[in-house]
Amino acid sequence: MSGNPLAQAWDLEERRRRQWLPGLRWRVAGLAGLGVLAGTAAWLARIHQSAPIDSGNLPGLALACAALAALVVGHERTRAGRDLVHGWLASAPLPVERTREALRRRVIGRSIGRLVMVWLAGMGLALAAGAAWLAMIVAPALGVAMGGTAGWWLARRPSQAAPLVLPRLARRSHCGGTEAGLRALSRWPSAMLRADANPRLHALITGSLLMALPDMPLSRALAVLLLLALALLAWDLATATLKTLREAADWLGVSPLGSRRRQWAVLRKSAASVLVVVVAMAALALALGFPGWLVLAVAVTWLSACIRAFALEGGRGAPARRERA
Amino acid sequence: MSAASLRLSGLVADRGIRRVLDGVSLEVARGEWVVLLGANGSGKSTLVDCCSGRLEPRGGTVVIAGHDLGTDPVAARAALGAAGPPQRLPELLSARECLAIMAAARGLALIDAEVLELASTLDLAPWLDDAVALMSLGTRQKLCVLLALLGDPALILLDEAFNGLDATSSLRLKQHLADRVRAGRCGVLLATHALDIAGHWADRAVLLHQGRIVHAWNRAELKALRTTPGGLEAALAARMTAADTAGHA
Repeated sequence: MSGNPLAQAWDLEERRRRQWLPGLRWRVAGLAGLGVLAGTAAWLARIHQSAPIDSGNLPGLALACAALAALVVGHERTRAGRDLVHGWLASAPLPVERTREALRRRVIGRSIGRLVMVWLAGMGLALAAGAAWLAMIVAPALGVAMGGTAGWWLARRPSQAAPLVLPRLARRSHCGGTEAGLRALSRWPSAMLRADANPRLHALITGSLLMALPDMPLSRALAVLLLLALALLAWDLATATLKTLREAADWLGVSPLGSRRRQWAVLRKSAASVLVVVVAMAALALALGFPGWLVLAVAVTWLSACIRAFALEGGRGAPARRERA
Repeated sequence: MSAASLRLSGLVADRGIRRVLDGVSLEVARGEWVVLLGANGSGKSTLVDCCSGRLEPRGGTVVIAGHDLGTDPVAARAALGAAGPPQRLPELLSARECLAIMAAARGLALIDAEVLELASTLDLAPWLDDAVALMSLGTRQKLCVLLALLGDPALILLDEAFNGLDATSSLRLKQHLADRVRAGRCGVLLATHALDIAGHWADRAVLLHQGRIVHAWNRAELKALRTTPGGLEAALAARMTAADTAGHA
C-alpha cells in the first residue's frame, strides 16, 4: 500500500459506509426527483414572475449560499480533525503535509454532495428570479466557493489537550431514581448543542447576511437574521439530538430501560424544541412575505426528514450496526 | 543503541481542569521492560497518551529513542509503537487492511513477516480478513498490539494490552515481548493492574500515585517479593497508604 495511508484509511471507510448504507439508491433517486420538482417550480415561478427574490438580490443569494457552504465545510472539518487527533492512526509517524492532504480529501469528499445541492438550490432561486444564465451559474458557485473556504479556516480545531468535546455539566448531581435519570437524558441534547456550538462560524454567517441586506429596512433585516438564526438553531438541535440518540443506544442499549422509553427521554424536549423552532421559522417567513406554498413545503420536508432520521437513529442499537457490518 | 527508548523529564499533564501528571520523570532503557502500576485515576493512561502523542503535555519533555516528541514528532513517532484502545479501531476495515495501512504509515512496503507470524501464534490469522466490527474485545486487543509491533519500534507502549486476552494468547504475547526486549531491540512500557506481569516478566515496576512516581522496584526486589506474604500486592498497598499519609501530612 503506497500513497497517503491516512487518506487511504478514510477513503476505504467511506466506501464501506456507502456500500452498507441502507437504501442509498432510493435516496439518490428521491433527491433527483426533488431536484426535477424544484427546477420545474423555479421555471414556473420565472414564467409567472412570483419568485421569492428578484434578480437584484443575486449578491444576497451568493452570500446565503456562502453561509450554508461555510456551515457544511466547517462541520466536516471539525469532525475530520477530531477523528485524526483521537483516531487509531493518531500516533503514526505521518508528516504534516500528508495529514493536511488527507484532511482536504476527506472534507471535500464528504461535503461535495451537499455543496452541489446548495449550488443547485441557489441556481434554482436565481432562475426563478429571472437572472441572466451566466449570473445564475456564477453567483451561487462563487458563494459556495467563498463559504467553503471560510468554513475550512473557521472550523473548530480539536485540541490534543482537551481529549473530547465535553458538554458543560451541572455541578449538582441529578442522580436519584429512574425519573431523575430520564430527565438528565432529556437535557443531554442541549448540553451537546452547547458543546458543539461554533460561535465564530455563526458570527461570520450573520455578518455575511448583514452585508447581503444593505438596502433593506432595519426591522426587515433583523427579521431575516432572526430567521437565519432559527434555521441554524434547528439544524444544530437536530444534529445534537441524533448524536444523543446514537450514544444513548450504544451505552443504554443493553440496560433494562426499553428502547421506546429511552427514545422518548431523549426526544421529549429536543423534538419539541425542533418543532417550536420550525413553527416559529414558518411564521416569520410568512410574515416576511415568502410564498405560503414554499414555506409549507420547506417546513414539511424539514420536519419529515427529522422524524425519519430520529426514527432510524433511535431504533438502531449497537448490535444492529454490528450485524450490518 | 545508546539512546534510551524513552526519557521523560518533568512531565505535567491535565485532563480538563484536573492535573493528572505532576512532574513525572522516568527512563526506559533499550532491553528493559518497565511496568507502570497505580490505582484507578492515578495517571497511567494519561502518561501513555502523552508518550504516544495523543495528549499534549502542559510541561516537560518526552524523548523517544533520542527524538523529542514535541520538536521532532515524525522521527519520535517512527521509533514508537503504541497500542491504542481497541474501541478506536476502524470498525469497517479488515484487520489486514489496518495492518497494511499502519505499515505504509511507518514507511514499510509490506506487513512485517514477524508480525504476521505472531498473528498466527495468537490465533488471529482466521480473523485477518474480517471487519473489525465483527471481532471480540480480545481479538481487537491482539490487533492493537500487532499494529504497535510493526516496523520494529524502539519503544513499545502498551496500556492494559492484556485485557480480554485468553490465557494462551496472553502467555505467547508476553514471551514474544520478552524475546524482543532480551534481544535489545526495544524497551517496553506497560501500564497495567496485572501484578503477575510485574512480578514475573518486568525488569522494573514503577508506582504512579496521584500524578507522581512514588516508588520503583527493580528485578531483584520483584523476585524477592514473590516469596514474601502478600507479595507485590501487599507492598503496593503499603506504598500507596504511605504516600497518602505523607500527602496529608
